[in-house]
Amino acid sequence: MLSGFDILLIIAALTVLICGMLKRYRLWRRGKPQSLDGNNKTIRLGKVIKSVLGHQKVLEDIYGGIAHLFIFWGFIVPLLLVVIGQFRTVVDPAWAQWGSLLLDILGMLALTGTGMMLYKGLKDGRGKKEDHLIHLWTLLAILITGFLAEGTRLKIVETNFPYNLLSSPVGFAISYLMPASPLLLKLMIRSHFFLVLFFIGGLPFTVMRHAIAGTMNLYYQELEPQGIIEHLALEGERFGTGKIDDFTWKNLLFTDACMSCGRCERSCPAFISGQPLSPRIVVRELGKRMAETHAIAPLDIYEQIRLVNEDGAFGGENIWCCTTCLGCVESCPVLVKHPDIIVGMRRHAVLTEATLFPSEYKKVFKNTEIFGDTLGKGSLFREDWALNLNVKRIYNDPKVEMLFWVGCMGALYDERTRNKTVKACRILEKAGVDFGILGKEERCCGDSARRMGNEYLFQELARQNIQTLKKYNVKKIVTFCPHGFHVFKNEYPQFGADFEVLHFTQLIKILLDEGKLKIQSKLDGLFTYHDPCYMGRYNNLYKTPRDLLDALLISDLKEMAHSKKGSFCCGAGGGNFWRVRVVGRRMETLRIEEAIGTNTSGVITACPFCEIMLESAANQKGMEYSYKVVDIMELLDQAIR
Amino acid sequence: VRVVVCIKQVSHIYYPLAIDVSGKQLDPEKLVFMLNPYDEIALEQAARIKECYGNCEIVAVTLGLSPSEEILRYAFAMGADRMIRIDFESTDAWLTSLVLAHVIKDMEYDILLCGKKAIDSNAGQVGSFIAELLQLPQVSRIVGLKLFPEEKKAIAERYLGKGDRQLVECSLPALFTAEEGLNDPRYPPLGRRLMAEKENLEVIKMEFPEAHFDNEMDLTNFMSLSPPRPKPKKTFAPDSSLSASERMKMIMVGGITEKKSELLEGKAEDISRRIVEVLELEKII
Repeated sequence: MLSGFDILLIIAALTVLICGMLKRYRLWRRGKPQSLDGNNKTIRLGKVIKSVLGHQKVLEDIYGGIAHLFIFWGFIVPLLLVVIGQFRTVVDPAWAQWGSLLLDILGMLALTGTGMMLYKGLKDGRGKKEDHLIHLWTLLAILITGFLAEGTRLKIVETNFPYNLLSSPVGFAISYLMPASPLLLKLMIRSHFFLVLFFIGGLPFTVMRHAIAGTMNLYYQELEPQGIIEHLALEGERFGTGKIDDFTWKNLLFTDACMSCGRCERSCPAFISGQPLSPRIVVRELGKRMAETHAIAPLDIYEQIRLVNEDGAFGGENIWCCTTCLGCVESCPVLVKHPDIIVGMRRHAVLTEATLFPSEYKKVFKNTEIFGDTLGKGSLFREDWALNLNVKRIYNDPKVEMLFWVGCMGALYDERTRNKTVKACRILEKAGVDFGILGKEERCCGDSARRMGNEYLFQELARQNIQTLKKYNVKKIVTFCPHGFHVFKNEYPQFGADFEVLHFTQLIKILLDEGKLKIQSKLDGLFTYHDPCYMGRYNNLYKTPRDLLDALLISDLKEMAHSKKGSFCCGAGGGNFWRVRVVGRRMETLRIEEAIGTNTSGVITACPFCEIMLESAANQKGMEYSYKVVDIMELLDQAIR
Repeated sequence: VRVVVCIKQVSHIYYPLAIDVSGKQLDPEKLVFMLNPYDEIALEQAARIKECYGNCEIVAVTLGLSPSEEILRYAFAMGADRMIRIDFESTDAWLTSLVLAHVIKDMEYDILLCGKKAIDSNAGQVGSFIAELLQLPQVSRIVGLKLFPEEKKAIAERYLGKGDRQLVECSLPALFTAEEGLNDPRYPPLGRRLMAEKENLEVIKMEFPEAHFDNEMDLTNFMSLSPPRPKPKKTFAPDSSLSASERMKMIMVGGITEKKSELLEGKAEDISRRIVEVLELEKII
């Protein structure tokens, strides 16, 4: 039973917990305010329950997920049982027996889980580096002292044999090793108790704070489609996040929600291909600096740490390696949004410092500013592919039903992408769709500029494009570039656009269902499908292209190991298309190797960027004739003829 | 140190056959207006001088009608402190130089910077003419510049072609015209861009300086426009085994057949790697 002293200790531990968390809370609140819609409370709560109690996302990684599940339930339930036990002294023996058995099993599971976690932590060498594993060692000690106490108790009490075995088999086994010493029992119980208090009080001071911060982060998650980049007001002299105080409080909350599990690393194409970026270290480092600034100054006058610098986790090449593929976000169990942090710092580098970005980007920015496309060709070239085609230009026929947004890649890049555009037009014509193109009035959609950190350029382009589109009263847009698709659909509404945006595959699916388009001959060949990030993870378009391919191909698709949500980026996103990469392997090479490994004759994709990247990788391997990289549109064009 | 930079808004023809149906003028749709790239290099040099000596004023001067204010604001974003537009239109290098020299004469300056030429007229005369009119020493096509403001002198590195350089020492004030390779112009920070929008811009009205001309014939006259002789066709051969960024670069510079100087930036390791890549691409090694 609890003595007054024990209660004091419990109160002390809880006070330490609360004060510690409040301190963290003050750290977060240093960030800029970010309005969160407090609506949808039930949906949010439901998501939290699913994620926290049900381990929905945690279990996606089997090893870590199971270990976490064991520890979570092996800690929470016994704790609750023991707490309840303190209030109810008389318990029905049958219940007590079941309770004891449950405690034993859960304790064993928790022990297994802790062991698994410790093994992994020590193997990664993480215990020595940035995070200590004290929370895991404490857990281990709690569990061991618990079992030892149980064993000693059983030795002393010596109840009848089968009852012991059934109610607490582990304790029973241990009891053979323990002396019948009441002193030892007392010692074990006390140390068990103290360790639990130590663990609870220490929660805010180790990565275990993720239990609270992570839950908060889950509750305050954004319910809109993923990957939307926050609007930046272009006022003042400093833009983006160059100092700790520039981050939103949500971004700072991320750093405490992260428990350094490393899933983001395992799904980060930049990390896997050996480039100097680890989303985990970005978040951890940010958290470290957040705490550092707090330690050296009183609350109001923080010494601010300049974040974007030449070296370290944020400087040099690191933040530019991110392809904004959302692989990390998709795999993160507490929904940390690493690209938000990275794009914020890129904005600072491009807009405020204006020097600390790859020099290749300078040319891209200037080209886009002067010529309106990333390639620096000029707006009239945007119609060149349509010279001999009977395609309506919207400035001549403003009454068309649908706008076909061609985009920089489709209109300008090279012979093949331009041919693809022609094929797309042929398909639309065949289906009798009343469509037009903007031609020379089209500008770059600005996706790359935004993700390279040049928010100014993006907003200029977005305003210009929206103005043009509104001028011709465009309602429906179809595009075959997933990047344009995403920006039009999800990011242009920040500037007052409300168009109905379809990806080409979606439109074709509708046309096929309506019977306006008929597949004449199914195509031969065994293919695999590469999910473009901006279709899949950004917009959840996994099923549509697959349905379409089912209808197009005779044989079934063969999926790669990285597919759907776990798709591996081709390496073009986030401005990396223009960046000269010198460190590590190329992402597209890794991806094409994976595709070749499926023993197929080709890989299908639905994004011009992916196609260019993968094609170059295949050619570099000397497989330009033996392994095909095809766009879904090229297949369709063959099939409907 | 006071620096005056003369800049020009050029009309760059980006689409073939830019002469319109009348045959008298260029089709505005096929032009883009931009800051002359060599002037941008000159501006960057001025900005670097400012960073180096601190107490420094940069004046950007341009000649033209109100649309050319755009480049002045860009110049401000790059680091200029004052923006002056001379409200005068001229297509003749001598006339332009006269007007510019007339305005600059009244200013205080230590260094005058110009681009080596404008990419639309390709004359490359204005810098030299201004130096002549103001009786200044002139070093053209510089790829390096060292200043000694206390001793009132400067050492400039001139580009002579084929890798040859000439070191020239001259007294200040002096005029320098910038060659590609002098520096790599910066991308202006957004804060200064927004400031430039609000900044006051000085406009100077100019009359035609008749005193300098005996008759109209002294000026270059616009006679007619003619389409260019068709060039030997340079096709871009996309070597698809190259990475996307390499191919992009090739598209942007117009294929590998074109010889163009390029400034490499970054760590020594990266630069050497790029050099080897280029040499391999050109089949030299």
